Amino acid sequence: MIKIKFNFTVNNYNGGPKIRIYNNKDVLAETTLSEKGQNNLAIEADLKFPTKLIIEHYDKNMNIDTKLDDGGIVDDKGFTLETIQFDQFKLHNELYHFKFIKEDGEEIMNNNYIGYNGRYIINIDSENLSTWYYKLQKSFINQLENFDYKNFKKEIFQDEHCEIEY
Amino acid sequence: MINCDVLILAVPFTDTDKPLQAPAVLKAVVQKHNFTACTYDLNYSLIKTHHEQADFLKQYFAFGTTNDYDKIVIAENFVQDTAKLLLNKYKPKFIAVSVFTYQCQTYSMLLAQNLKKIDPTIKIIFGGQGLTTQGIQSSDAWAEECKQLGLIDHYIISEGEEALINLLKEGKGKGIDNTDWEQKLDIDDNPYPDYGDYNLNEYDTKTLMITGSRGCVRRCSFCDIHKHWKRYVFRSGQSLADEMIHQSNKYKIYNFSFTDSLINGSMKAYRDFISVLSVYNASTDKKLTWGGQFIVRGISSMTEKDWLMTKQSGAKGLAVGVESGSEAVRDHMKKQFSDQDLDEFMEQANKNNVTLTFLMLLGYPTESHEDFLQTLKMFKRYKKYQSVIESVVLGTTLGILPGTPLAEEMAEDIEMNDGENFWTYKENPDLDFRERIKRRIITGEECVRMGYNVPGNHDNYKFLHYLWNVYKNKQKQTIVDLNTNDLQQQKYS
Repeated sequence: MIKIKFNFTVNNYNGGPKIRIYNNKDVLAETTLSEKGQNNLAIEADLKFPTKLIIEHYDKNMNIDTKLDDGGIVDDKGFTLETIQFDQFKLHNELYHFKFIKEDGEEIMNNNYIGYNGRYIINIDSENLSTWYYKLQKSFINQLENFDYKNFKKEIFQDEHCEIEY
Repeated sequence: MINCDVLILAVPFTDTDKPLQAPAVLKAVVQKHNFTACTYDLNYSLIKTHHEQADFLKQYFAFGTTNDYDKIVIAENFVQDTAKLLLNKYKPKFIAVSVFTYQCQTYSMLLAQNLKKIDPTIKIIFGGQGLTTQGIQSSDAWAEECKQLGLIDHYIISEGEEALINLLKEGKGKGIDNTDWEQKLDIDDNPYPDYGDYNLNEYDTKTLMITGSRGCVRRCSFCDIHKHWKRYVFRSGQSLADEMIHQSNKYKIYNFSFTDSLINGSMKAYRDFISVLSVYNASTDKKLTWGGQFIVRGISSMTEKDWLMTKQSGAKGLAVGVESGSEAVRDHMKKQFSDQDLDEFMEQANKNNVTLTFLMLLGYPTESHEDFLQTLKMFKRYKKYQSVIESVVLGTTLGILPGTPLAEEMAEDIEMNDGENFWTYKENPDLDFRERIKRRIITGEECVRMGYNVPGNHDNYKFLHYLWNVYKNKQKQTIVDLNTNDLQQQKYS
């Protein structure tokens, strides 16, 4: 059994967001995050890898569940995924990189605030957690800027000269 | 099918065109104790592969990184095919995987997973320095995790010669599934490495590895070797020369590369070694040559006669830890050689035409601007010796590793700033990471301008650029930052 711990920051307008958590098609948990602010949820699941862990946000009415004032959002039914921990493997900044698919099929990337109805999908595409986790960590490295020596040197030296007398 | 007690594998990725030594050493030891063993150098198979995605595979196995996440399946399939190939050819009771550096971890895990999938009854053992990931002093966490995941049955920390035999005989012992390993004090009785399963003709570099000592006679402030090998143990010069002569006759390979931290740690053993080999070389057409890491010694310690025999014994490409052109910095490092010693050393190397590689460490905590200029001046002064200075390895900038005297004895005055390369020293606050990169860039450009060969220069800059991004974004430097597959560079990153 794998322990999965979720930490959310919740906006609980109109009763708070309703969520379901799936292991592929199997529902692992179903709850309403009714308290504003930090919410924790812990479950145990017999996950067989590879699998997809899905967090579904449902039953939000976009017309009435977002409170507007002068066109600006002042309250909402939604939540930020702060951390998800699978046994000892904790996802934090990584959560920003998984895909969220809205009800209408539109994909939203680089977002960890779940304000629409839809599915946030963590694709565990390895045969065990540690392989997947390390693979994930390492894949982020290449998202850094490309290397250009002249630019790098310029950034390091700022306005100073690099010529030197010796 | 080839039946054997243990199949010993060298796994990717190590960027070498030489046969890796560990499987050959272990095979000889295992056979000495009446077990049967086979070896397979999977690392070299990858180096020479004609796979259409060869570059990707090397990159992925070494660094575990790729720009295309979907491509990872290619690597997984490659390892799956290798596992099938191995188990179609061999029927071993144990498979021992030599995890040479942390850059072998990705492949090792994938391989173990696939081997277990094909035959869950095979016992898999991981061993080698690559089991630890953050310096030689770090824990066995990765290996322990592999064990808990069921990928492996056992792991062996550090020296494998006795532990592997204990494991095969008893299933337990010191250093097996624990960090409580015991250093072997007599390394003269090890059998010669058995390369019988290697097709040595296929290797581009005709060189065999040889080990003359373990540990170090020095206790340099930036190095953690002394923490790992508590004692400096060495073989007799006669024994070393005997092995080289025997192996060269058997395998028809005449060049040797020492794995030691230093070859001339014991001058007595060293003199014995070069005197036997220089006599041997004088008597044969197939002259032996050798290289490895070497300590700078002045003429009072290493005499003109020693230098002559060094040349006649076949020394070439000696890697010398010069580290800095400033004597004050080297004194703080406890390198124990003066500017005069270095001058005498260089004069003799030049006179005897013994080629050298300089290993440098830029941005040492006590390095003042004047010290830094001393390094540049040294390179200017030694331009006259460029015919024997084959290359200058500048590396990146000094990282402070756990277990080193710098980390332990200066801990109160050093702030690590979330990364071994990001440190600042209270007594030299101007030398921050940016300043160290500046000095590295200047030294690199000046050395190239003066005509020195600086291998890996561009890759070093690339790595520094990567680290710089981590640093400026206030992220934490972790193992995956050690982004190099060159053995010499690894030490310096």
